[in-house]
Amino acid sequence: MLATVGDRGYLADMRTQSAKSGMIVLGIETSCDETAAAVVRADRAVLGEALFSQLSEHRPYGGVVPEIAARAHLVHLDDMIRRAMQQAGLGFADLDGVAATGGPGLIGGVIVGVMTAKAIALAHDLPFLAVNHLEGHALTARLTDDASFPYLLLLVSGGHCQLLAVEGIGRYRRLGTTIDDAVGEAFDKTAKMLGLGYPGGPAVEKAADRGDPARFPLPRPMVGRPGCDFSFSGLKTAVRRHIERLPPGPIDDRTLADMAASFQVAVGDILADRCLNAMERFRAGWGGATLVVAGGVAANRHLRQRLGEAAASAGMELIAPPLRLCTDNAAMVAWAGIERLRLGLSDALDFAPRPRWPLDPEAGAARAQSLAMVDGVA
Amino acid sequence: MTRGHAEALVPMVDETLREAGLGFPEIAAIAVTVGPGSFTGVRAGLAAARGLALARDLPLIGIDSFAAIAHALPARECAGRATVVAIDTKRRDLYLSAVFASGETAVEPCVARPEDVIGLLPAAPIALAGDGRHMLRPLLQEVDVREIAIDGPDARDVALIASRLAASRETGRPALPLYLREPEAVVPKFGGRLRP
Repeated sequence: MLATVGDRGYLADMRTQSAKSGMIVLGIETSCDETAAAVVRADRAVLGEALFSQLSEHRPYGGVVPEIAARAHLVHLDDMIRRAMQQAGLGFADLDGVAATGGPGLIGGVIVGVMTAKAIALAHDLPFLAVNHLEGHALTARLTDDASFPYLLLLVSGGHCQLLAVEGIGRYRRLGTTIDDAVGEAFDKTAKMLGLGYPGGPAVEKAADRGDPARFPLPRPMVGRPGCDFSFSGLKTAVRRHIERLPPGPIDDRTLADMAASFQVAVGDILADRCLNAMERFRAGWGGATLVVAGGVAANRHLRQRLGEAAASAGMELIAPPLRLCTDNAAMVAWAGIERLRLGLSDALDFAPRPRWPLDPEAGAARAQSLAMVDGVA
Repeated sequence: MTRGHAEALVPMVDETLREAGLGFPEIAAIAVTVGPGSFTGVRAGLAAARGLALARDLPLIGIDSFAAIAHALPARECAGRATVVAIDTKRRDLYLSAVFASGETAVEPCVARPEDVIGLLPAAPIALAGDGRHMLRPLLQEVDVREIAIDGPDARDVALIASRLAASRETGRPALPLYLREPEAVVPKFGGRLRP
């Protein structure tokens, strides 16, 4: 499946504008199952973009297979770069920097993107920028809506579920995270159990459209408790129990839709409740009034609506980037590169790809310590 | 040094060009090892080579590890011998290729256990190289074997083969990995559904 976006509105006819509009960065994204390249300018114009989705290669396995992903990235990446550059009408010498996702993610794919970016940077003596994939998501609201710091970020994807205070480029304070599954993982597992296919997010959302969210009573772990942490494991188990209790044989469409809707509404309630706590803390501690939602799960329309209501009730504004910039993409990587380049930041060509790379390293260390103490290790 | 490649390689290209007193405008083509070898290491090299070729609009020439190792064999010691290159997969088998002294292929590049492949090797005198040679050596008691202490491909051989190919307007292998092994992945029963 190949999607290029040459005729979209946001691909502004700004190519002809003078060079004054600022620096131009090529971004590369290869950390999961999308092979993507984009050319973005500092005035927030996306000049060119190309994306290859490996979905069909992973679907039979019900999830992303790292080795298959790494192989596909290598085969497709230079073609995506060529297309994005052509669309932008630029040569490599016109660039001001080359950015690639440097982690976190599947290391085999990250290495392909990082090596390609380093090589292009070397070949034209350009700065190389190793971008934290999560920072790419975190800063998307500045590309799309010019959001100003500080803002509260709900980062929801297949691998993450975190609430962060975004103070500036490279400055994040984690307020909460999941204590078990990521929310996107819960969607994928629910879809799998229901036989709705992979990836689970869009499949559950589609089925839920026709469903009755009140049919299956599902738990809302953590709701009503203080703090900003999440838990989805109990919800997933409850879905499993309900499915096991159904009469034998294939599950009928009505039941599938009702289960998907019940699950999706439960997730919405959990996210809204945790965000309300976080917004209170954020307003008191940082004084900002913006909630940004980012990551693949932010593409879910019901959740966007639910978060919008929660933000409004707390007197905050919700920024939710357009759907295609919520899922993995290269424009966000290029943009994060521009943000760092503007601060005079870049990375050496001996940068080592980082399979793990928390936005708030201190929060990670604190949690590891507290978990170790629970285990009686420390 | 699978992980080390991603850090070391691009600065090394820079350093090598400086040492040669050359810039990219003087480079006519990019040659790269396509494997077989560590999947991740092979991809790191190929991604960098493809990036350089893309950015400078240069032709890419892929050279397999067997050819690079064979190129390094000392000609006099190996004259009249078939060449067997055995690379340790680190998974108890070998990446293997064999070529008769005439230049004809004896065993196409493959992955195999030593005991399964031993009968396919030329019975003629053999020059044996590669870091998996110690796995074959004990099984070749009846054959005249000259072991050559070359473990893996050297960038100089890769560049030399490529320059010879380029001079005769040949392109070598495509610049894509020679994995010789399918990715390990299991298709789940019923796609993971709780009901069939």
